[in-house]
Amino acid sequence: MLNRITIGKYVYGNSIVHNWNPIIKLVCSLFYIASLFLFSNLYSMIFFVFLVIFLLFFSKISLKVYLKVVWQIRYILFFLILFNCLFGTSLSQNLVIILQLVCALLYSTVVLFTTPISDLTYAIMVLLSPLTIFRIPIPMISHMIGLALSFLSNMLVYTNQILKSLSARGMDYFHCSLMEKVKVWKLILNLLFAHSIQHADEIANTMEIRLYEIDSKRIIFRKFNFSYYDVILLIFHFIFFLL
Amino acid sequence: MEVKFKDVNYTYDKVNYEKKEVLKDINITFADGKITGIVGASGAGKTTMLELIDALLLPSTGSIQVGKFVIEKKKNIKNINELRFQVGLVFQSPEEQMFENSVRDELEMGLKFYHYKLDKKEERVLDALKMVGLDSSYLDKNPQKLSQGEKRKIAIASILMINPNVLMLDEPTIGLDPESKQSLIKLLRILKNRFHKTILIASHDTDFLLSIVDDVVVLHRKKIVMQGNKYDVFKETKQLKQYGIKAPHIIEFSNIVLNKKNVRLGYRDEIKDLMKDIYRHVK
Repeated sequence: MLNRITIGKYVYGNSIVHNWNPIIKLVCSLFYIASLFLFSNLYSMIFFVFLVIFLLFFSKISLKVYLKVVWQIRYILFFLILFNCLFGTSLSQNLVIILQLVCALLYSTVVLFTTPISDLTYAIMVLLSPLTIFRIPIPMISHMIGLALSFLSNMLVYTNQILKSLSARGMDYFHCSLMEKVKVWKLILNLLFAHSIQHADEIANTMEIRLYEIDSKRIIFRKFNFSYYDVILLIFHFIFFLL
Repeated sequence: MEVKFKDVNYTYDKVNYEKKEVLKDINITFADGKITGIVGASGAGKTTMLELIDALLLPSTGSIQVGKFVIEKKKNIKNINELRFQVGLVFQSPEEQMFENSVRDELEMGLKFYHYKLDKKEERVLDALKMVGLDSSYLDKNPQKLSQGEKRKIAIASILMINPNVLMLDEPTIGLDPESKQSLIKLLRILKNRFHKTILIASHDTDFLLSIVDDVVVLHRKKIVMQGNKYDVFKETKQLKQYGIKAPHIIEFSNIVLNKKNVRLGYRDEIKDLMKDIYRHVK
């Protein structure tokens, strides 16, 4: 039922995009998204669209998956166009806004699909490490972000199981009235809340058993090297940003 | 109520839209009033098979007939709740089936969903509890705070409340102590002999299955590879081992005695009967 929701999911693969260094990937996505919203010219959007299509193509993940992601924000896009039309925004301006949103979504999706959560956590930790000078617990924060991302997919699996269980007991979410749907959501949220607390407790215990210490320095098991591709990608994004 | 699989295939799309095949060319009939065990290694498709019968999943091709209902991909089932009223499924993890704050509400929940009006509701609640070996002291307890075994019993009782014709249990013995296992065996025998229910049990616990089922179906790599009477299936210990299934201890013991001492003890459902045979033989 909720199998197709793609938030926080890593898609296994061995493409160029998969093998890019996670730190570079994160920096490039920041450059890309920042420059995307700084430009509001329709002609400049062609370059952004081209770049995102280039990434989608080289990630070797079915285009269907990306289309599904864009399809999930169809209502937001629809209301955005509706409000813009009401306030008299021109068609080209509308198109730019939509392209900006879709490109930003697709770029971040490529990064999420091609980077395992552990690598992403590492990249966040490295990028934010200068803040440790101000005594901000960056390793802990990055670990929390990583846990939250993995928690999300766990919650989706659990919600799916609850929906199935309710269907088996006579309350089919997809074949019931609006009032019953509200009741179903009340039950789901109750259970999810209880489950998430229990699950968080279990994770905390597991971490404690594995001798995890908040204050100690974290080491990384996997070694990330910078390849030529990484450097080219970074320079390309940087020039793009400067332009 | 008879359950019939006709050329059923089930595939689903992974995140990257690759097809993952779970069941292939399934043709089988689960006879009315019989207990059938479904065994197979992890990921063989046991749970999927049960979920297909309850129309929680729809077959990619082929059809499943449950009494008068036909489950097909392209055909909308009219009154899907009517089908689910006839088919009760107890899930692998009982925690997923606990929604209310008291055992009483939990047991009555199914009846409310089906808009079922019952005069003697209290009596039925107590009967369902009694059937799973619990007493009335549990009625006001919070189901979330019960042990794994107790939760499983409550999950079974809540399905018994709707009195389905087909009862399906997914790994029912996980978290149950030996005594509870025995009471579950007793309950399933009553349901079969007195109420003529069709019961399907998906489990790894072949010892439990031997003591309760009539027929066994073996799933291996998406397909049915063996099916038939439980003794005929379970005595093929070497073949079962190839499929990643451990044969019941009683059958294994009888086979060892037959191979090493050339003494035919025969196959028994329970260890006490086997002990009697051994005693008789030694005497």
